[in-house]
Amino acid sequence: MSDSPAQAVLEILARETGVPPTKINEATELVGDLGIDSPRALQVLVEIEDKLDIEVNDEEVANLRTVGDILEVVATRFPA
Amino acid sequence: MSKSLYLVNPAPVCPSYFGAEVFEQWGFPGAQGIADLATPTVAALAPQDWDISICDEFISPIDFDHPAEIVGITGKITQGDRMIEVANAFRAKGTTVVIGGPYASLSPEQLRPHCDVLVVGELEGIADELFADLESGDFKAEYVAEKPDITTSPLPRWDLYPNDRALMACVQTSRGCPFECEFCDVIQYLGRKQRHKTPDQIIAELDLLYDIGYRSVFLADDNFTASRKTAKAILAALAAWNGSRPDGPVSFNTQVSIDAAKDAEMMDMLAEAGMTLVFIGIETPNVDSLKETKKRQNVGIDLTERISVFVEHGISVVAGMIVGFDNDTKDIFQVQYDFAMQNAVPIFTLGALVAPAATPLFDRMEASGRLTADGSEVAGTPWDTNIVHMNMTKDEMTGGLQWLCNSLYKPEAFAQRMIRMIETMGPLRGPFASHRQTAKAGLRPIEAEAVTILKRLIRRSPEERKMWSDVMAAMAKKPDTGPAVMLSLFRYAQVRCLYDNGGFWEPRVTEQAAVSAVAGGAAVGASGLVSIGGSASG
Ligand code: B12
Ligand code: SF4
Repeated sequence: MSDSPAQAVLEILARETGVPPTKINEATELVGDLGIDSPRALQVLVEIEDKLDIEVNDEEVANLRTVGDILEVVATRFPA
Repeated sequence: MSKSLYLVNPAPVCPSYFGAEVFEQWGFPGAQGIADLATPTVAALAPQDWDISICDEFISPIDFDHPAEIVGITGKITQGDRMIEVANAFRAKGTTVVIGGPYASLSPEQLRPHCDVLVVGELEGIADELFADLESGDFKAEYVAEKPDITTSPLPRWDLYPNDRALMACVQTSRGCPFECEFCDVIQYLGRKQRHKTPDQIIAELDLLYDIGYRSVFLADDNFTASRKTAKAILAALAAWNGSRPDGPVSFNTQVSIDAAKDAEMMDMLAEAGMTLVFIGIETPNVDSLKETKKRQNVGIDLTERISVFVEHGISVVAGMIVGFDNDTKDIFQVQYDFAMQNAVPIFTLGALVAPAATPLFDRMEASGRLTADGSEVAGTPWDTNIVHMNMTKDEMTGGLQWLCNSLYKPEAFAQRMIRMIETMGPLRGPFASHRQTAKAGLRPIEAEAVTILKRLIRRSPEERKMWSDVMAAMAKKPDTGPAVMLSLFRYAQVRCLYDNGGFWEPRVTEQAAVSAVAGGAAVGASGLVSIGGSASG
């Protein structure tokens, strides 16, 4: 079990893209930097949702461009 | 004096393979898979000082209190009943109702009693006369058009259309088809001489749609590659245009016939232009049936090999299949299944042979007393038909088709064909090869809804989950196939929507052999009416 939701997200992104977690930060672009194409994005979303037991809605999906965008959505489901 | 015109594209009686009813099934607002081109075209042909608005009922409800003086209704056969309802409602309150479009042109007798003005055939050549008469109030009950030259067609009025609710745009590049398949009504509607728009016209339409935000476009041809020379001139223009789009290329889909695969230059040009999916009327692997129905372009060739040529060029194939030709015996369901499973084609549109009203097949069935009074003449209504099949009872046909459809769309079988497509598919070509890294970040809202639908689909059952993980594993080795995989998965969601909608989805029927399913008739369902695409093209 990951320590935090954010860490879980980073782990999933790293596993799916093969990019080491240390090279992924909030500014990392999903398409430009991680090369995530649409099926991969679908897979990442399904994994994040399953792992954290949340649903990212379609408006949020439309606005995902960076890793920070995903973390922001996740943060709204796990307020500090 | 200028008038007000309300153009309506009424809802269909049932979903279709290429539709997008799956959005509503999953709780989203109505949507179109391909934007309706008839309403923006008629709007462009009407006087531009008129006050014109469009309602696509696939997307939003009709405003029956609309104050327009004239209501124009379009539609295909699946919309026929609703066209009549809408017409009657507006006429009851005194609005002048004009009806046109494919169904009105091919079955005018069905609509004549329900409108003030019936337009039979294509509008371009008679638009000036029709609208002048409507403006003066001195109009005829019926206008019958000649086949117009379409090189002067105006730019469709896409500014009036609800584009945010359509996945793909639509551009018509030609009308008519030189082939003469017995079951097809395209020739009766548009003739055998193919008439094309000019490349400049097509590019002007594309510029408009690109600015609106569309990144995929259906080229609404009956058979895009039928006239090789003209098709190549258009493809050269498309390639030049698509390769220089500032915000990434557009993906094109169209309908072609299988003979294009033997023209190596044509195949390269299709790929270089950005063609990513084609619909092909394969109809049947039974050669005697192909001959019977005059599908000559499919005879004497290895269909599987030709289909692979498209996929190797990075172009996915959707194949239209028909069962119930006079030469089909009860083993046809198993034969079709075996054929489908050996092809790199995830999506098949399947249905029983039907005889649409204007076709040579209709005349032959009528002459031999084989038309049924109450059956459906909509191609691809799997459990219904308007003809008596030669070697099967209606129950046997329904049982066999239900077995075939369920067997082919079982998640496990669908995964196998997806994986075959992935393994066969060549690298991204043309504009997509250079845009790999700069692929558009961010989705249109309707595309984001489609992603949500796919997320839910994958979780629908353990079988679907496994289908997806097997497909992802295959795709990991061929990342270029990503867009094709997503498109096929979305079409799969729509197919499931059709089958669910008509009570046709019953995987238990696949536990028996095809032959017992035929003998037993339909196991369940067969209560609703679901149109699933059929063929009648390419
Ligand atoms: C693109 C297309 C589709 C797209 C449609 C996308 C959409 N949202 O509309 C898709 C792939 C989804 C599709 C699906 C189907 N299609 Co289709 N399709 C075509 C195709 C290739 C082009 C249609 C088009 O866009 N034309 C461009 C517009 C500008 O032209 P038009 O509609 O012909 O209209 C002209 C005139 O009729 C007139 N006009 C039209 N409307 C009006 C209204 C008024 C008031 C006036 C005055 C004039 C007027 O002006 C226009 C310009 O001249 C035609 C074949 C063809 N080449 O026409 C088949 C065709 C229309 N389809 C047909 C069929 C049967 C179907 C399906 C039923 C197939 C199935 N079994 O599922 C489904 C039905 C879907 C539904 N609506 O319920 C038949 C219709 C036969 C009939 N008797 O109605 C056709 C003719 C060919 C065929 N046999 O397949 N189709
Ligand atoms: S089925 Fe296709 S190829 Fe055959 S006549 Fe109709 S449009 Fe042409």
